Amino acid sequence: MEFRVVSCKYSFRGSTDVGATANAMSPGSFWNFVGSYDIVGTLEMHEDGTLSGQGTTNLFMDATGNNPLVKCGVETPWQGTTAVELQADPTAWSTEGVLDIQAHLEPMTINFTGITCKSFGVEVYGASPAITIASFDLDFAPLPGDGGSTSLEFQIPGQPGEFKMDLIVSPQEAGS
Amino acid sequence: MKTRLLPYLALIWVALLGCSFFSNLASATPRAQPTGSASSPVQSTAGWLLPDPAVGLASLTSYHQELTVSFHGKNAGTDYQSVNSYVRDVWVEQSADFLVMTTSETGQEPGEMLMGKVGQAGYLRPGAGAICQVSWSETKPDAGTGRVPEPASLLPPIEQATDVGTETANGVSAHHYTISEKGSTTNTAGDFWLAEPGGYVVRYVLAVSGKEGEQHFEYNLSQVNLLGEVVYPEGCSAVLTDFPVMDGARNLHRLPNSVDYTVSTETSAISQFYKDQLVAQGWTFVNAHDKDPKNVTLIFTNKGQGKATSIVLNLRDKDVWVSAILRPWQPSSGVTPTP
Repeated sequence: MEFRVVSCKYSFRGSTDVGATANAMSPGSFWNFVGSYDIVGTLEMHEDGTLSGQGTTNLFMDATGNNPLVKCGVETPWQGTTAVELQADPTAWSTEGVLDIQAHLEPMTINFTGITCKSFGVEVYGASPAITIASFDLDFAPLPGDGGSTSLEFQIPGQPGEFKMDLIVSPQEAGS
Repeated sequence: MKTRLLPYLALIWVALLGCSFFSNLASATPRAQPTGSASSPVQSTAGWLLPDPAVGLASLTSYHQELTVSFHGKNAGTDYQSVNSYVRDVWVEQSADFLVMTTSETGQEPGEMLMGKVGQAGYLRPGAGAICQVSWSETKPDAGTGRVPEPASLLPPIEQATDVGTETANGVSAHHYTISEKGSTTNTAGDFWLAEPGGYVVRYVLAVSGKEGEQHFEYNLSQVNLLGEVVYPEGCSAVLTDFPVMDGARNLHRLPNSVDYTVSTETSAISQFYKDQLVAQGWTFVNAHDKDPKNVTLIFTNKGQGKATSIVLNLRDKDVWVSAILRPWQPSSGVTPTP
């Protein structure tokens, strides 16, 4: 008889290349956007058979000017942090051995100070107000009980563009 | 000229008829050798001409196998046919192999499954068009995908056969043997070729006909020691074996576009490690998002490779969970702004 050993604790990371979406929305742009929108947390099985956990959502995006004659830079990158609640369907886990994970993201404020450009001795500064992203949910495709990776296409409420989140779920050994 | 196939063939017929193809595979006991239960007594194959059709394969560096097992006849009085095919590529030195199994059976939807491993990475594609799942284990690469079955082990062992002489089969010099036996209820006929030197099965064809129908085995081994670099099946990718990992890493997982592990080190030391290691590999450090010291994100780009990586350092008690994800990245083409 073969017994399947399944972890009771997982590390969880969902990651979105927000820079790619920003670049795709501004083809031929002067700017190169590079960034990451991440959900990081842990998912644990509890004594009552439920699987849940908490984590943090972080957004970070930087941009650099794409012309040798004009030096541009972001004063401070776009940044935001908020909490995320994670849960997995206990029935799917107990009957099929799969991780069917949902994430609930709390509202997040993204701060950004501004951009400074210098060209031929002239310096130009542009500012931008902070924006707030409303709460929303992500429902991922089921993963094997011993972890793995998948991806999910989604939209951020109130924001333009399509985003793709890569998800990694890694079983954690005791003591890790 | 004599064969003692019937106990094995009876077992294979039982295994293949009226059962789920993939549940058979999942049993991980594809060998025709009976396993000692009361209903299938162990039959010794000591002294047989071909006691183990998988013999000699371990001495090769790479090879390609194709096996088809088909049945045409009656099942419970009605017309029935099944065809199970196995196509496998093996690279011994790289500890890599991929097997694609397909099945068609009267009254059932066709099925396909891919299983494989490359080093410590295991691969599973549970159906045609399904996503190729990748798992990683430092000790058990097949833990998440199951052990890859050996198609040659599905061939019935052979006690005796007639040596026809030396020929070339599938590009390999081999001894050709023939089998022909007429029993009271079953007729058996076939040929097989054993590599000389090496002794491994190069080609094997066997037909067993009985009252209920005919079972046919056809097996070919080719491209012996000629496969070259590991070729990944469509949709399956190599894991990141060259992405730097800190000394002392625990619970390491390497997947096609990600690496993660746990380490007991300060986040500042981990940040510096990646700045040193990745820059040395041609990456450019873009920035660090360290507003929350328990969650630090490092961004690097590599214009030459057209990739960006986002590395998260997630502090948990005394440990840090390090998770790196690689993605395609191209800088925008750029335009000259109006001054």
